[in-house]
Amino acid sequence: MIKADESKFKTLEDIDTQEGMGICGPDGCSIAQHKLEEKANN
Amino acid sequence: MEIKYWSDIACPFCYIGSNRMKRAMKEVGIYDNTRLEFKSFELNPNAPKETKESYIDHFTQGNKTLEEQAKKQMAYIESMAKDDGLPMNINKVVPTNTVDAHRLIKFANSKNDPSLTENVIKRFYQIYFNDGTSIADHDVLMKASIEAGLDKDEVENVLTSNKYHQEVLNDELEAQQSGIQGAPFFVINNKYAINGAQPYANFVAALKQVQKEENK
Repeated sequence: MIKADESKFKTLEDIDTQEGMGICGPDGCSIAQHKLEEKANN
Repeated sequence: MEIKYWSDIACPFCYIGSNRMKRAMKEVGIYDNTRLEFKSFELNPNAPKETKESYIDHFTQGNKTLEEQAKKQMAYIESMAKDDGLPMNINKVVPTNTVDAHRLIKFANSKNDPSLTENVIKRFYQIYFNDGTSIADHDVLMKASIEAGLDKDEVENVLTSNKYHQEVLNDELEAQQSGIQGAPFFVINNKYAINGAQPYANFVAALKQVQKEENK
């Protein structure tokens, strides 16, 4: 999981804003694994 | 409210996530009076200006196991984009360097016309993810910039120089100093963070929560 420096930015209460379902970095993009599994099961 | 987001034109989740953020801003009624600032975050500053590689090859470097996984991911990303009404054809993507696109976005931003900047960003995402043309090609950038509303001579002046590169680097330094390692990364009121292309409902909920706090 990619996180901001929590001393600088806060997470909003009751909203999962730290666990991005899709994010890209220098090594490529990642998707929350459960989302891929959901898709495969549909 | 003030919102900034770190993004790259080569980042599919930035395309999807920023579109969700803009829709959410419209839904909560703040789009017209909120500053939404694009901050540069090049995923690969060393990407070539020309390439024959596919987008999948670019990330997997010929590793077959990674390739299978990447294909599943790309199919999922395309379906996410399609569900949000964004045209995307990852097989056509030409994975070239985005720095000149970033410099032109900075130039557009210098005009203090948010809708002009938005037009440029939107057109550049379309080039990258749907048109099958190279975002590093100056002819492609020139044509798209004019279509988006920028002046031909001024765009040429930017493309034939190193102008606005320092602004791009400044954004990336700010990201680094803030511990930001991936994109998209949204910051609301310089205080709250939204990491990645979250579900649309999360953007709406986050904006409503900040709005509520502002009205206290």
